[in-house]
This record gives sequence, structure tokens and C-alpha cells, in this order.
Amino acid sequence: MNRPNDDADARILSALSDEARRQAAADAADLPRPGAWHRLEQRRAQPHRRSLRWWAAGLGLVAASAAVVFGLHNWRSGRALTFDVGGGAIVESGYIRGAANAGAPVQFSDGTRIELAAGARMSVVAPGPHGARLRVEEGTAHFSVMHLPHAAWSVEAGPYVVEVTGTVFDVRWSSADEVVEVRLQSGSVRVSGPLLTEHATLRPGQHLTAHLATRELRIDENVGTAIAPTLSVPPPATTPPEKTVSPDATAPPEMLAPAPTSFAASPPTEAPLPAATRPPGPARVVRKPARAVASIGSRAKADWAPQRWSARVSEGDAKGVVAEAVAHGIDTAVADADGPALVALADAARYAGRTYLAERVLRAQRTRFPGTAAAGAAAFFLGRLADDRGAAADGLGWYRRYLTEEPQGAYAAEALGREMIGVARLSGRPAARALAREYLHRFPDGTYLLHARAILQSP
Amino acid sequence: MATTSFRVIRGSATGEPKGEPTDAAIAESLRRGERQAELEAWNRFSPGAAQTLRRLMGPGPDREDLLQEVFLRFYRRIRTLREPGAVRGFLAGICIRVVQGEIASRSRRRWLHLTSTGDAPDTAVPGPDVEARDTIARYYALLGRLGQSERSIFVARTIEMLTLAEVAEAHGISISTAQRRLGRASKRIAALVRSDPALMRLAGGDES
Repeated sequence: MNRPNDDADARILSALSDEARRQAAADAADLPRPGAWHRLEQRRAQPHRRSLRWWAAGLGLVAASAAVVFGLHNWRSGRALTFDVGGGAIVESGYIRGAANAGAPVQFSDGTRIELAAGARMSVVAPGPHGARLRVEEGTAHFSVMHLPHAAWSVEAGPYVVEVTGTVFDVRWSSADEVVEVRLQSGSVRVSGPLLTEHATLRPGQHLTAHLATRELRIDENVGTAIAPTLSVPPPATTPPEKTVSPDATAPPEMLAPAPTSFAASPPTEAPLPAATRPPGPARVVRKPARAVASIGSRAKADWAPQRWSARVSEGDAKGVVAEAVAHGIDTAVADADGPALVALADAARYAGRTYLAERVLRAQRTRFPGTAAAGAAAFFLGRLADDRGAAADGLGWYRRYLTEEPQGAYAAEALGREMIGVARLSGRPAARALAREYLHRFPDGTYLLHARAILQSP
Repeated sequence: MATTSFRVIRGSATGEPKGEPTDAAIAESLRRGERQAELEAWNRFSPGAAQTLRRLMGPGPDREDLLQEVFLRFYRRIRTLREPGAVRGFLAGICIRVVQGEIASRSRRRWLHLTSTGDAPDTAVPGPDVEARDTIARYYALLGRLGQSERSIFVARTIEMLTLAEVAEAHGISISTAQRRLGRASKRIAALVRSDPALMRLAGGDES
């Protein structure tokens, strides 16, 4: 038998490997399957449980001994932080509910301490080795986060996220009033969420208040000492004048000087002077109407601002708007139209049944104005369009993206309901149970109420 | 010439429009613990990861459980990623380790005679091109005769098309060790393939 040379071997193996790759590409073309994300989320939500097989039992003792001898260091540096809760609070799977008339201290193993005010509720969503993701479900919490290398803490309060390194601060969230407050005593935190185009970095002494219902957000200089357990929301009209905001305030520029152009039908009710020239006086205030899109004017290249497109769409002249855009040149229109016109064009295209154009405009909306409410809404409409053309899996992705970007958005109920039904259809009702529970919790009178109940009641 | 695993994942058609965050930006957001980035990462990386798993595992039913395991580890370990721009390589390394674990587990099942093949009792995937599929299944069966480490190195280099340096890093060994094991595995597999007429036919080689 002749000894094959290396080149021939390489050619043979290469040919077989090419074929293996081709088959793999064909087999995995549609992967992951629809609903896979939701199944992953389900699995993540389950408590981590490593199933032990019988053959492993005999090794268990040896492994445990080895862990004691060799693993102590790893355990200390690599395992998630632990925490103890005092004050008679109720703890279940990371959910902490303090007594109604007394606060509850939460002590983490790295030295970080949290004081929950009376009646406050908090979840330790994801403890890690260097911090944890926490969620203030309701009420006020005072945080003293240890400043350690690689510390990674974040606090969610409603739709807001406070990113923390080493810091002392208070967070209050009222779901009933839709008000979030962050008061920083020392260190620094970064706040992101609705009404903030990017994020706001707070300095010691600053106090952020967001009233989601009235679309009002303010950042004041501190009016006093920390008031963790008794934080209150002063009515905007009665807030006393605060100290001057320094020109180098770290909040985004649009908070200092809202852009004149906005998606809003009416301009911002207040247009403070640029920071550098602002005289001492009231704190910064940003007011945004319900459909406002943060700072879209400052981002948009409004080379072309077609008049009355929104009104014409409202009057039923969708085809006329589309025709005008076509006459202008779709590429140019999509690239140059200002924010309100782009929204109107997307609506017009949808109403006129020009779904391809609608998708294109909606994607442009997301690309040109990322992080805005309009971009979020575009995700929802992209989901609906995908649904309509039978691409249910794509629709699910867009709905989830919308719900992540705009958890309190105008289409949240619709997006969640559609997502729930889509998952049930594609992956079976058991996979949609978590969504059904969430829907019933968030929208107990929603239009998908019966669907949600049916999903939960099915075996 | 086919692309490397990393390029394959990069080239996965996820339909992301221009202007979406870069891979590195997503990785940075994940490291900061931003929940929104988890979905973004899934949308961006899961199709490529699914293909990588398929190439590493070979023919068989869809193993969504493995993809889940990859992303569970990915989310857990993202903070250990030193260079956000290398997130796809990081993910490929996780895929390799998950498959190594699965292959080892399969060997244990076979050893315990829990199933005849060591495969979990799932439904096989029907598909066209039955003969070629059957032949590639035989090819992977031959790969299964290598040791676990050699199989993984061989598949990562020849089918997943990682560079030798990437293979070495993913397996935690030096490049020279990877090269030595790869050479040994290639010779053994080539010899086995030459003794299988069907494989030689598919490879376009002389089967006589």
C-alpha cells in the first residue's frame, strides 16, 4: 500500500470539512428557532441547579475535599456576593420586603450596605462576584456601596438604571406616581432612562427627579442632607430655587438647553439659557410632552422639513405623502427628512400598504435617531410589520426590543400581548407563561387579558 | 476559501441595520450589567453561535440546550473579557468548551450504556441529500475515535477554521502543542478516511 503524502491527506480532509461546513450552514440556517430567547430567559429565571448523576455521587466527597483545600481562594474571589437581611424583612428568591413600619438593613458580603425604608421593597436580581443588579420595586432605599476594584453595581428604579461604583446615594421609586428620585451624597453615579437622551452623571449633592406622568425631569443641587428614609418629592411648582448649576455639569447638554426642534407638537415649555450663561436661580428643568423625543433636533440633520405631512396623514392623505416622498426621491427623503416628517412618512407608508417602504423608513428612524422614543416606537411597528408578513420570529425580536427600550411606552401593552401570543404560537403555551404572568400583572385590564389567562390555565 | 469561525459569526446575517451598536459596544454594555445589552447580544451573536455549535457537534438534532448553555456562560463570564472587540472569539471559545463537555458527557453515556450511541434520545433531523449527510455523519463518527482533546482541536482547526493561535487559546495550550496534536489527529483521521470508500468518494479522492 502506498503511503499517501501529506498534501493528498490535506486535500481529502479539506474536502470533507468543506462539506461538513456546508451541511452545518444549511442545517443551522434557521437557528436559533423562534422563541429561543424566551426559553433562555425561562432557564435563567430558574434557580441554578446542577443535576447530579449517580456516578457523580461517589466522587462528591473527593470533590468536596478538593474544594475545601484548593478552592477557598476561588470561592472568595469568584463566587457571587451573599447578603443578609435584618429587621424582620421577608426574603424570598432575592425579593426583599421590609416590614410596613420599620426599615430593613441589607448587608452584602463585600461590605456594601443598603437601608430599605419602611414599606420599601427591593429585589436582588443578579448577584455577581463584584456587585449585583438590584431593583427598587417600591419605596426608598439608601445605598452605601463599597468602592472596590471591579465593583459593578446597578440599581433599577422603574425604567431608570443607576450605575454605581463606590458611592453613597438614595433611590426612591413610586410606581403609583411614576416618580423616580436619585440623591447622591458621595462618589458618582450614572443614571439612564426615559427623558434622558444618553445618561446623566450625577455629582455629590445633586438630586435627580423624574416625573414620568408629566414628562418632567429635573436635576437640582442638594437642598439638604441625606434623607434616605423620608425622601419626598416636592411639587415642581413649589421647589425652592437652588444653587447655580456649574457650567461643567456632567449631565447631557440637552438637559441644559433643550433643542428647539422636537417631535413634540408643541415646543418645550421651558428653554433655559445655555449653561455657561445661566444666572444663579432655579435648577435645571426639562419638560417633555408625551411624544417628545429627547434631543432629536440636536441629532437630526433637518435639511428637508416637508410641511404638513403629519396633518395630511391624519387627514387620510397617506398616499399623497408617499407620492411626494417618491417624487423627492426615496433615498433622499429617508436620509434628509426631519424627525416629524420621517415619522409621518412611516405612518403614511404603513397606511398606504407600502410595507417595504415603511420598514425602510422605520429602520432609518432607528438609525438616525437612536435612543429616542421615536426609535423605540419604530421597533414596535417593525414588529407588527414582521408579524403581518408572517415573520413571527422577527416580530418577537422587535417587540422584545421595544419593551426593553420603552418599558413604559405607549405600545407596551400591545407589544407584550403580541409577544405573548407569538411565543405561545411558536413555542407552545408553557413557554409563554412568564409573559402571560407579566401581562396580567402589568395590564390587568388589557385587551389580551383572556389570552393571558388561557395560557396560564393550560396544562 | 472558507472563512474562519470568527468571520463566519461576523458575517451572520442578523439583519442588523447600519447604525446599530458595534460588537465591542455591546460587549461593553454587557460588562456594565446593562440588561438591554443581553437581548442585543443574543440577536447579534446567537445565529453565528448556533452555526458554530453545529459545525463542532456535527449532524444531529438541533441542540438548543447547548446554545442556551453557551449564552448562560457568556452572560456569566462577560466581565472576564479583557478586550471587548474580541467578543466573538470569546464566544467561540465558550462554544468549544461547551461542546467538549457535551462530547465527554456523551462518552460517559455510551460507557454507561444509557444509549447505544451515547447520543441523547432525540429525534433525528430528516433532510435532503441523504447520502452526503450520511457520509458526513460517518466522518464525525470517525472524529469521535480521536481523544476528546484531539477531536476538539482538529474540528476547531479544520472545520471551524480557527487559526492555530485561536485554537491554542481556546484550548488553553501553547501553539506548538496545538500544532503537534493537530498533526497527530490529522494523520490518524486521514488514515481512517482512506479506509472508508464512501468518505473517499465524497472527498473526491481515489478510493481504490
